[in-house]
Amino acid sequence: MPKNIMKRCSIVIITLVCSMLCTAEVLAQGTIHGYVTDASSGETLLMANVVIAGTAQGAATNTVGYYMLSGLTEGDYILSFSYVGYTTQRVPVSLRAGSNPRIDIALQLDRVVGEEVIVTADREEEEERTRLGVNRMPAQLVMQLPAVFEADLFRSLHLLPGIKASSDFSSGLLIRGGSPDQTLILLDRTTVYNPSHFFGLFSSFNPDAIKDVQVFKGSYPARYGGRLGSVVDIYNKDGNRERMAGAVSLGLLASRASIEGPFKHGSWMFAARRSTLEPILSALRSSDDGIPDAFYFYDINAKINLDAGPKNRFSLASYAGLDKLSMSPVPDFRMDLPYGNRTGSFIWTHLFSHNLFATYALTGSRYFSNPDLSIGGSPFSRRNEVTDLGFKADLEYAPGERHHLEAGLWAGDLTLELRDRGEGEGNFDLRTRSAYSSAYLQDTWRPNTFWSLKTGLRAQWYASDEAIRLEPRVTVDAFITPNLRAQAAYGRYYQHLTLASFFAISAMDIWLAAGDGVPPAWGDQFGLGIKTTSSHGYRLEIEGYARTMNDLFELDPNLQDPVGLPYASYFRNGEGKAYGAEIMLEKTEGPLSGFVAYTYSRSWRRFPDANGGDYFPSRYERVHDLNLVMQYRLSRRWQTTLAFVYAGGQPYTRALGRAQYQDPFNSVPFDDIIVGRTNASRLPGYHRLDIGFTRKGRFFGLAESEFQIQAINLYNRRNVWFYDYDFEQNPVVSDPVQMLPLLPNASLTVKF
Amino acid sequence: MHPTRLFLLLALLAGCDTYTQDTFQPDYVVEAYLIAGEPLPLIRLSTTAPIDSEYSLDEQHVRQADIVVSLLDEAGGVANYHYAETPAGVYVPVEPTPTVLAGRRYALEITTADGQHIAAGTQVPGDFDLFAPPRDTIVYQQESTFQVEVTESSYPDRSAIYILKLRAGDTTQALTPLYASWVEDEEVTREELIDNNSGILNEANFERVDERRLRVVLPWIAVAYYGENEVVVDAIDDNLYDFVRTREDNGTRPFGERENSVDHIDGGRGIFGSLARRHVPIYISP
Repeated sequence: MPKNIMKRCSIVIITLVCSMLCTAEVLAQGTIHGYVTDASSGETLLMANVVIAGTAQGAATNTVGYYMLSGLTEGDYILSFSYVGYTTQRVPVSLRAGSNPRIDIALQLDRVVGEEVIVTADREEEEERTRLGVNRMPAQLVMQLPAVFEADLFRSLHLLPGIKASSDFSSGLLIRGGSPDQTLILLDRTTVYNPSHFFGLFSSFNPDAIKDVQVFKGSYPARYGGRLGSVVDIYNKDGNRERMAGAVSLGLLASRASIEGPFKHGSWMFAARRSTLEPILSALRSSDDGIPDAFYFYDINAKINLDAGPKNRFSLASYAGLDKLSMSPVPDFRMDLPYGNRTGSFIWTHLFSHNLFATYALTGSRYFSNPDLSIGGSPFSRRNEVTDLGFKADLEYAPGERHHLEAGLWAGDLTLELRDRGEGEGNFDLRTRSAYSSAYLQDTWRPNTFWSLKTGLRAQWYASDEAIRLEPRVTVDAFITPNLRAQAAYGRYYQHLTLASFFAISAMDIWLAAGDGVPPAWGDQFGLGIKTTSSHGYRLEIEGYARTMNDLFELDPNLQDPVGLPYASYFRNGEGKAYGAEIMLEKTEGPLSGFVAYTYSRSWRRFPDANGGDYFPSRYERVHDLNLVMQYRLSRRWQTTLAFVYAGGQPYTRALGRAQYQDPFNSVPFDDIIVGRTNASRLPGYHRLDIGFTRKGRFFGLAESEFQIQAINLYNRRNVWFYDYDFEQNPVVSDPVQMLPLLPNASLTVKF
Repeated sequence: MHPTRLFLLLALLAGCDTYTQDTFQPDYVVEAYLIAGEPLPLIRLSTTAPIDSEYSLDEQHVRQADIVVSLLDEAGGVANYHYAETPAGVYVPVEPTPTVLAGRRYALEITTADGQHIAAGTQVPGDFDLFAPPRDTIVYQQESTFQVEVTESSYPDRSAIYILKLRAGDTTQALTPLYASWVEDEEVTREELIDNNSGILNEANFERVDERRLRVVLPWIAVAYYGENEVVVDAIDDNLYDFVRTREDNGTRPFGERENSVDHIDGGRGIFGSLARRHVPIYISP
């Protein structure tokens, strides 16, 4: 039955796509289209804006930098091309009957005074980037923000309103009250399942390789699916199409190198990063037996692009990352823990006509965590792997001024494998293989310059679920004045996967799937927003959201031995809800730029066997959250970046009482803690000030250089991670376990 | 909405948090473990104490309670066994002490001096046999793992659940290298290593030898002391299963997070559990 339904869906989509193809030429009249790129590197610019000057009519470039302005009548136009950090270009275009001019534009970096770049923004450029629930994180800002040892994308995202980290030791994303597994993370259209290094301390995305990052914090559009909450869509650089360029960066924890350049019909990029802790470990090893024998990570990004004529572009991208820990701190104890990700994508973008654009992608992603231990002569090994092979097709069609259609397919095969081998007991095999497919159709309708209505429907099917799940999505935009925009959105989302983390070590994460008696989680999201820009480069955004989470399934924390148990009994099922408001004031022009953001958020969970079955605050909740990020150019060479974070206390469950038992299995009495209501107490508020200085100069007159010096947690606030109970003391002592102290950081980057 | 009004609304919302921290409420704690084939056990009745106060189990004992354990049949009762308080504050069966019967159901009724009624019940796991190979000495890590065979223990509506343990018989003996280093590093004490138990193991973990027998492998990590040891195999009831699996999580909770142990005590908390136990001596030489 599901196969029949899928077949019918496929026929509907294929029919739709064919009708697009057939009618494209008939309906097309007066379309201006083309690519928007960076003039210095030839990199395509994503979400750049193209506006017909003097009107509200415009479009944004898509995820490969292509735009389409359709339904234009014959006449002369001035097109305005803009992108944050780049000088707006106005281009006169004469549109004659039957012509569909292709205008490829290369934007120059913003106005340059000597070597000083002053960031500007244009009021009319922000339509796409100010969509409800959407934030961008410029790669340049990631490099400039003070960072714990190493510039990190996810730690930079934590500064955006509505996004938090669980602790200083985790780069995981907690977005709008959701757990980390509720965020879909894509790298060049490929799902990345465990994007972390050093057990979660950093994300695995090398900032040298990143071109653009879009964060859909909620109510995300129909072209994405598979997660209840949000999407982080990351695009690596294509490579410099103008000249060979590169950079080498030396840091305290890791060093990076990247090189990129053109070839006859395209470009390429290669970036590598490796931790450089070995000298420190070696020095410490002589005085401490617990120092690992090996502790390192590396990642490699590579991409090659081929421009096969004006209508076809191909790219092949890959990522490989590995963390390795080996240690034998005491006799008869040895542990090897390798974990990492491999991803690859082959992408073909094809221009069927001036107003029909297609992107096809073959994607592959593999996450593995394969610890091997030998303790006291007893071996234990785990093979924990996720393999996801997929195919994606996305079509964009602009039949006229008022409609912009998008349709697509995403099909693949997902295998989750968990195999434990111990001595005697502890042998466990779990292999879940499921074909999946989804299709979507979305129309953006602009009946006039005041309204925009985006309606979409996504159908999702997992073989293990044997049901088609429909996900309607709606976004309404009202352009009240040229500078004031109001938005509302609704969407339904399904999630077939859940992530179980062990001991807060990301290397031990395992993914588990719905099916075999476990229904997928689902939820609704509602969003409201008002966004306004001023003529002085200020932008104010206010957003509110509410979301539900139903049929949540998470690994039962009380499951001790799954061997022989029904699959459904591995989980505990519950529900959740979250709501909040985010206010962000951003300054994008002038020597001083940055933003201040305040977030109010609540997030609740309910499980029948916890907290008496009552709702309790999620551990992902931070009721009040204030972020301040400022960049100021001190002089022609010096720039300073400052980041301040305040987050209300994390919920925790307070111990109220104790009891003691004579354990029948152990001669030592067992101390039992009696806790109060779940997550009814709060850790002290978290706050931290980071500051960094960057000096630009020349490296022995040979190349450009950037020297960074930073202080993390400048006033040495000892934020509390959790409370540990010491039963050796009587009465029991509750010890606060603290997070990172004041940390210095320095790096030197040479660019050529 | 005007930003000022929105801010005021948010401030109002923030101030209306109805989910507040509760406070410590003392509770009765029951503790008893019925072992098939052994005399009815002593019962400990105590109270919980605030986490920030000094704790002594002896001082928490509850005196002058009326305690009865009943052996049940399908009709609801066969025999009642009354308990008496000892000077140490625990309760023991009034003589003659009966033997716990495997595969039977027992009920606990307690009435405290202040009128609190506490009740619990347990289904004792079915008895089983343990077969060990006829050898008296094993050389540590010099040969294949030590194996025993057990017959299945029966339990209503589920397979058997076991906990394995190696109990040191002579704590003056030397420790195996791993545990010796941990003791040296003060990670654990020698006393804490006397019993080395496995945690919960479902029957499906074990290789089936034939229709009735399962092969149980003793991992070397269980061996902390050289010399005389005892392999103990326990089949546990539902109460112990829930209590053991919930008193410590499987590592998926965030650091510092806890939930209360699941018990099956009405009117209090604790454990009224039962198990079937078999054991066999072994000698482990370095």
